[in-house]
Amino acid sequence: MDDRSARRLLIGVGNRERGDDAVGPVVCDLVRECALPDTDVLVFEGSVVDLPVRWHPTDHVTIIDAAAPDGRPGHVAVIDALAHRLEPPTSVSTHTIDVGAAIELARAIDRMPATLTIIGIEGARFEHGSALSPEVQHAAGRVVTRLCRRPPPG
Amino acid sequence: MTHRTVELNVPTLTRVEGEGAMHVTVRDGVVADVQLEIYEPPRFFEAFLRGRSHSEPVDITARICGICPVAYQMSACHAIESIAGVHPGGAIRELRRLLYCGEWIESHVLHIAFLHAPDFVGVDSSFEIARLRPDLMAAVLHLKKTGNRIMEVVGGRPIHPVNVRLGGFYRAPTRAELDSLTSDLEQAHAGALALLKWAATFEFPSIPDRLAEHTEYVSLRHGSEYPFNEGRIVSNRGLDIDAAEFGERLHEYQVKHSTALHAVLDGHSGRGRHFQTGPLARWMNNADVVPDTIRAVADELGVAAVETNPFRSILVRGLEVLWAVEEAHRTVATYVAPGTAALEVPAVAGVGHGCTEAPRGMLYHRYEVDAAGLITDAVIVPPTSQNQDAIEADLRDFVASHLDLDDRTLGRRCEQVIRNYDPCISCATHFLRFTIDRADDG
Repeated sequence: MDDRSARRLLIGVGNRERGDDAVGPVVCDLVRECALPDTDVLVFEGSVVDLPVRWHPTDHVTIIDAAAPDGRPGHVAVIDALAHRLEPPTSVSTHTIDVGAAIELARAIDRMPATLTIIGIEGARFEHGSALSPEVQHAAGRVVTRLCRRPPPG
Repeated sequence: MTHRTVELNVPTLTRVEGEGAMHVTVRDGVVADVQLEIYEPPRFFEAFLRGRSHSEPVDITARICGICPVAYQMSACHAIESIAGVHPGGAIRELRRLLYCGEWIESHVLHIAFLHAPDFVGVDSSFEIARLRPDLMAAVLHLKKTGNRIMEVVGGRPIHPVNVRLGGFYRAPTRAELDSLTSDLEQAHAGALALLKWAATFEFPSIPDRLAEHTEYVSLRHGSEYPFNEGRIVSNRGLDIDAAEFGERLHEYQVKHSTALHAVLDGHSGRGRHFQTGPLARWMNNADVVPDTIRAVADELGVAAVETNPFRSILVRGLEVLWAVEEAHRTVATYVAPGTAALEVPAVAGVGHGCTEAPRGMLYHRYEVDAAGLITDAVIVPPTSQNQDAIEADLRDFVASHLDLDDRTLGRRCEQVIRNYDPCISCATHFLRFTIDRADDG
C-alpha cells in the first residue's frame, strides 16, 4: 500500500477449531465482507510472535482476540495498548508468546503502530470442534457492526 | 561429612518445550547420578494410527508437534509412499524442500533467539534481548515471519499445514504465490547473517573430554545436498544404513525416571552405542556438501567441520537458518509448477520406513499396512527421545567438571546444557525443577 498513513489493519487471533477461540478469525471474515476502504485484514491461527513486523508504524491496528472466561460470556473489553502497558511475561516458551507478549515485544523494539486497540471478547467454551457460543456469536456481530461503521483512518 | 540437599526452582526453565525435571546427586565430589526426568503422559499416537487409512498419518502425526509438524508429515509421506514404490521428484520434491525450509527457519530462529540466547547473554528472557538489541530482534521477528509465510504459501497455514498429502500436495502454489516470498527471503538473508554473527560473539562453556569417546553422531546424508527428506542414515563412526534398517539397529528402552523412551544403537536393555542426532550430527556428516556461501561464513566465524561442543550447536543452527533461507530462495527462483500436484499412492500391503531431518534431529516413522490400506502397526521415534542419553551424559560430565559453581549458577548452566538440544519434550506444560544433592563439607 502506497499511502501507509491511511491504512487500518484488523488482526484476528485464534483457533477456528476451538469454539469461542475462533471469534477473532470469525470477526475478520465478516469484516472482509464489508470491503472497507484502506483496510487490510490478517488472521493469525498460529504463533503471533511476529506480530510486531506485520504492521507499519503509521498503521491503525485493531486486534480481535478471545478473552478467558470470567463469568460474562460475550463481554467485550476494549484496551488501548498504546496507553496501557500489558503484563510483561517473566519468561517465555514458544507456547506462551501470546498477543500481550508480542505487543510488549513490539514496544521493546520500538515498533508500535500509530494506534493499537485490542478488542477482547470473553469466551465460554473452547473445546475442540465446538462452535461459537450464542453469547460470543452475538458479541461478534456487535463488534463487526462497530468496526464496519467506523470511518477509515487518516 | 554431612549430606546436603538443595532444591532450586528456576523460572527461566520455561524455555524448554515440555515438562520435566532434572536431578543431580553428588557424593564426595563425584557425580553419582543424573536424571533427566520426563513425566509427560503418553500420547498414544501410534495406537491412534492403527486401523486408520494409509492416507491419514500425514495429517494425524502433524498434530504431534506444533513446532515441527512438517517433519512428521514428511516422514509419514516417505514411509508410506515407499510401500507403494512412489518417489515424487521434480517440482513436488522441490516444494517439499521449500516447506521444510520454512519449518527449519521458524523452529531454529525461535530456539536461537527466544529459548537459547538468553543463557549466553545472561538474561532471563528474549524481552531483555529485545531492549538491548532492538534492530536484531526486529530482524529475528522478520525471519520468523518469513518462515511462517513459506508455511502458509506451501502448506496452507503456518502451523499444522493442511496442504500436504501422500504423493505431494492438494494444490501446488502458483509461480506468483512463490514470487511473493522473494522480498521477504532477501531481507531474511541479512537477518539470518546478523543473528548468526551475533551468536558467534557468545562465550561458549565447555565440557572437558565430553563426547570424543562416548558418542556417535547420527544423521541423514544425501551426498549432494544438505539433508531434509532423503539420504542414508550415517554416523561419524561408519554407520551407513537405509532407513529400513534403522528399526533393527535402534534399540528403544525404558528407564524408571522418564515416560519417554531412551535409545541406543545395536544394543539391548540400554546397553549399546550411545548416539545423538540433531544439528551437530548433521553438520559433522554433511559439512562437505553445503554451498560455498555457507562454508565461507562458517570459516569466517570459526565453525569447524567437526564441532563436538554442544554449547556451540547454536552456531550450527544459525548456519542452518542461513542455509535454509538460501535454499528457499533458490527453490522459489527456479520453481516451475508441477503438472500434477500429487502422485497417486495406492494402498499396498507392506512395511514402510521414513526418516527425515526435523530441526532437532532425525525423525523415524515405520508403518505396516494391510491389503485394505489400513495401518496395522506404527512406530514413531522422535529426535528428543534419541537424544535423552546424550543430554544426561552432557549433564553428568558438565556437573563433574563444574562442581566449583554454586548451586544456582550450576543449575542455570545445567538448564543451558539441556537447551543445547532444543528438546521438544511435549506440547503440554512447561515446568522443570532442578535439584542437586551433593556432599557438603560443612
